[in-house]
Amino acid sequence: MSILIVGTVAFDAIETPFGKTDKIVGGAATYISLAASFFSNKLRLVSVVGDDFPKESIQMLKDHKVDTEGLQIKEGEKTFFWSGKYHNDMNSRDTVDTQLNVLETFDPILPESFTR
Amino acid sequence: MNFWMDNCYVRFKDCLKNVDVLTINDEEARQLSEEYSLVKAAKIIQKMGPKYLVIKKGEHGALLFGEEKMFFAPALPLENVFDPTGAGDSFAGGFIGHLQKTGDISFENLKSAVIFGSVMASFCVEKFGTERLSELTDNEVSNRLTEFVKLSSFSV
Repeated sequence: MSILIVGTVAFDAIETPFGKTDKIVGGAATYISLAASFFSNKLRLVSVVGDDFPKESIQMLKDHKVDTEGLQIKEGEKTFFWSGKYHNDMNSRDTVDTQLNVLETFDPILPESFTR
Repeated sequence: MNFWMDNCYVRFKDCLKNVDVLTINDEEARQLSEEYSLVKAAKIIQKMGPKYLVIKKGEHGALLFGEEKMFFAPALPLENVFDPTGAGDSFAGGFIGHLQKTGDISFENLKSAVIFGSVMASFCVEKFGTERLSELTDNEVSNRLTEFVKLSSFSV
C-alpha cells in the first residue's frame, strides 16, 4: 500500500518573534511528504506549482523518495503564496497575505502510475 | 480546515462521512463541534464520520480518540521554537508514515503513530520552513523517540 498526499506545495513568508523570512518553500503536502519519508518509501504526491517553483526543491522531495509524477508544473503561472505572522505565544497567527495563484484552477489528477 | 468549514460547510460535512482518521487542532475541533470541552467535542465529531480523531494542541501535545478510548501524547518541551509553520502537517506525515510502514491500524499502534507524529513536529519547529526536516537523519529520529519515551514514562 502507498500513501497518496494531496495538498499544497507552496511559498511562505513567515514572521515569528525569532525572525522573519522572505519567500521560502512550504505547503502542507511538502511538510507531510518530508515527515512521512522517514517511515515510508511509498509516497505519492499530487499537487500543483508554477514555473517559479525551484527545481532544487522538487529534487529535494525526490531525494526523500517522494514520487512527484503527480506534481503539476504550470508554465507561466505562479505558485501558491501564503504569508503569516505569529504572536508571541506562537500558538496563534495572523494571515498577512494569501495569493492562490495556481491553486485557483487546480484540478487534482491521479497519474496512471498512481492507480496501480 | 477553517477555510473549508467557513466556505463549503455542506460538502465538508459530506466528506467527513468517509474519513477514517481526522487530525485537526483544538480550535478546529471546537468550531466543528460547537463544543468547548475537547472530550465532548471528540464524541460529537466521531458521530460525523471519523472512526478515530486526533486533536492537536500545539506545544501541549495531542489527543487520540477512538474505540471509546483516549490517549495523550505530549509535545517535547523545546528550548527554542523558531517557526511553528508546518508542525501539524509534519505530525500528520509522521503519523501516516508509521501506519503505512507497520500496516497495523489497531488502537495500540495508532498510539505509537501519534508519538511519531509528535517526534516529527518537534523537529519541524526547530528551524524556519522545511530546513530542519530536509536535513534530518534517521538517527536523530530514533534518538528523539527515546526522549519522548523518557518524557512520559513512569512507574506506579
